Amino acid sequence: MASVTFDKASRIYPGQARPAVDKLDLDVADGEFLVLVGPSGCGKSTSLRMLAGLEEVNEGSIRIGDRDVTDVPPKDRDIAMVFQNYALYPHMTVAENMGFALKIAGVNKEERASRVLEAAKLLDLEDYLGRKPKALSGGQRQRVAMGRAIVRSPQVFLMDEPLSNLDAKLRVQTRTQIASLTRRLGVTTVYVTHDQTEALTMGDRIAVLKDGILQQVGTPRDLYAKPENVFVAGFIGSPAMNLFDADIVDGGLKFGTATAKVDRETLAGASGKKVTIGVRPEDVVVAKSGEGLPVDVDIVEELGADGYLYGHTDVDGNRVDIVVRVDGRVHPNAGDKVVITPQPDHIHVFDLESGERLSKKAVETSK
Amino acid sequence: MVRASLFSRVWMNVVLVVLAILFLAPLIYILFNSFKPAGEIFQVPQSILPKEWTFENYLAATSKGFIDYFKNSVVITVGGVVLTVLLSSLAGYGFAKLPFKGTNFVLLVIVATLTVPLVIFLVPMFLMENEFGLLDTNLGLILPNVAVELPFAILIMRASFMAIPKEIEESATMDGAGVFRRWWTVMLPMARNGMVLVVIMASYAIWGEYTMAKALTMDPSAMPLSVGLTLLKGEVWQYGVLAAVIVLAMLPPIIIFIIFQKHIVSGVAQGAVKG
Repeated sequence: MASVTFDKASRIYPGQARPAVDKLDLDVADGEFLVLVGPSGCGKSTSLRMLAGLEEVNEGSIRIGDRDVTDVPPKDRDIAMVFQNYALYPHMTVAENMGFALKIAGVNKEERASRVLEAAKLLDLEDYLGRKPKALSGGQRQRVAMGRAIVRSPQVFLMDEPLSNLDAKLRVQTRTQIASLTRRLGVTTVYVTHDQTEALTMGDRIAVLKDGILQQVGTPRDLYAKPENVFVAGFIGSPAMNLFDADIVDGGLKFGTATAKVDRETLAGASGKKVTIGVRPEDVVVAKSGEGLPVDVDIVEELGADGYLYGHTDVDGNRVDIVVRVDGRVHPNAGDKVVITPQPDHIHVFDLESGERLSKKAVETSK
Repeated sequence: MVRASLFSRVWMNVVLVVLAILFLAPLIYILFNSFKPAGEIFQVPQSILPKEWTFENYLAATSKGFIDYFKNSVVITVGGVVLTVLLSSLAGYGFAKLPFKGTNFVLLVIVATLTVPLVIFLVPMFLMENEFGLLDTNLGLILPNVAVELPFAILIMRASFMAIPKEIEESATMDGAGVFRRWWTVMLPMARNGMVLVVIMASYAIWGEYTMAKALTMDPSAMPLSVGLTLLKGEVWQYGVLAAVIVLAMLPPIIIFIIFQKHIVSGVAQGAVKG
């Protein structure tokens, strides 16, 4: 087992001015499950491929344990990767697929067979060892891809969106399997996904990337409760956080006709007279009337226990959309007018220009 | 609508049957003639089936140097096909998966050779082979045949390798496979359909090749069937013997087709499913 360190690692594709990954500084502790998440094109897969050795590191370095692997070829890095399309060898059986790396490494036949069988037991694949990949279901193929990585007992697992080819139900099931399996094996894992739900449910810590730049690293709770900038605030959480521009007034913030109390210290750091204010859908109190922000209800999504109210309000003649969590059984209906007020403890304030968090920051936590 | 489509389907079948008869009739005529005694071939009225079945034409054919020609053809074809498959799968892999500076230029030059008529090369080829003592040898026909077949074979193999997702190769790289092992154990088995196509294409072309064989062999003992066939007629045209020789010469391509037929069909089907 080993830790993984990105030390100001950059990747600049030939002919492109902007780096795909820009001076990435990231520490993954031994045995930790770290999720790299971000929208497509944010550099998360590139970062993973740099760690795998499939992508050149143009600046900085990457270490696995104490060893600098920046210029080490992939096969000598002692890592195993699970690809999005599984990349199974179609002409080999499941057993041959799983044992291929061992065969190349010169492991003898008996040991190979026993290690393959061991991994197959772990993944419930014993009955399929003689089959070719095309005779397997999507979920089984995914498990073979996992098995191929496990058999090698590497220092680090790399996973590049391994669940995105599965249907929704299987994805949820496999998600928990992978998370518990890697923890049981105690192998350091770097996992790439664009799905923030996957990130929140699987990761010990999450690293959010955008445009090749690391935005924030922290536990799922940190990222959700104390996003460090507007991007992370909007990216983590579903439905997304409501974000508006609000005026700084005496004693707090003014948004449309509503005001919110925010302490002076927080607002002291603002660069202008306006800030961005963020409120999660569940941190809003809905009332039929009274003080607050009047909202016209457009539609209510019922999800059983919860419902999500999608509405809009007018601020200085501009339409602003708002999402609010409501009770799944008792809730306003489309066409109703309601009044909402944010819970003061759960207001996130960001600088309008830089997008940086002005409210209390999360304490950097690591495992 | 249904009636109309049924009608057009019937017509389609009629056309196909007529075409099949047009193509097959001469072959069937030759096949049965090869079993007729010499006197019966020109008998009027003609009969399709031999009245008297005989193998004397085949016996006569095999005693007239046919064995040599046949052997030369087999050696040249097998040698040529093996070399073509080997070289085109190496080159195709390189072009598809190991791009280097000038890949496109080299590829363009290779494709450009397809447009040059073969005849232009005959004299230089003759002079070169004369220099190296390759005239009237099997190798002297294997090499130019490979040179002629290779450009198109490389294009086919390149396309087959390009169709393989890059993750498969990256996965093999991370599993510790070097470039040669990746080519041999992972990529080549996945490019099988392309290889089958190259085998069929090259073996048909080389087996039936006439121009270069005519130019580069003078000694009958070094000639392949395609050229030797013309010498087999002897002093007077022995049509029965000629028919037997033609039938024997057609056998290998037919056998190759039968062997690989399954692969051709499954290859097409696989492509259809995977899109």
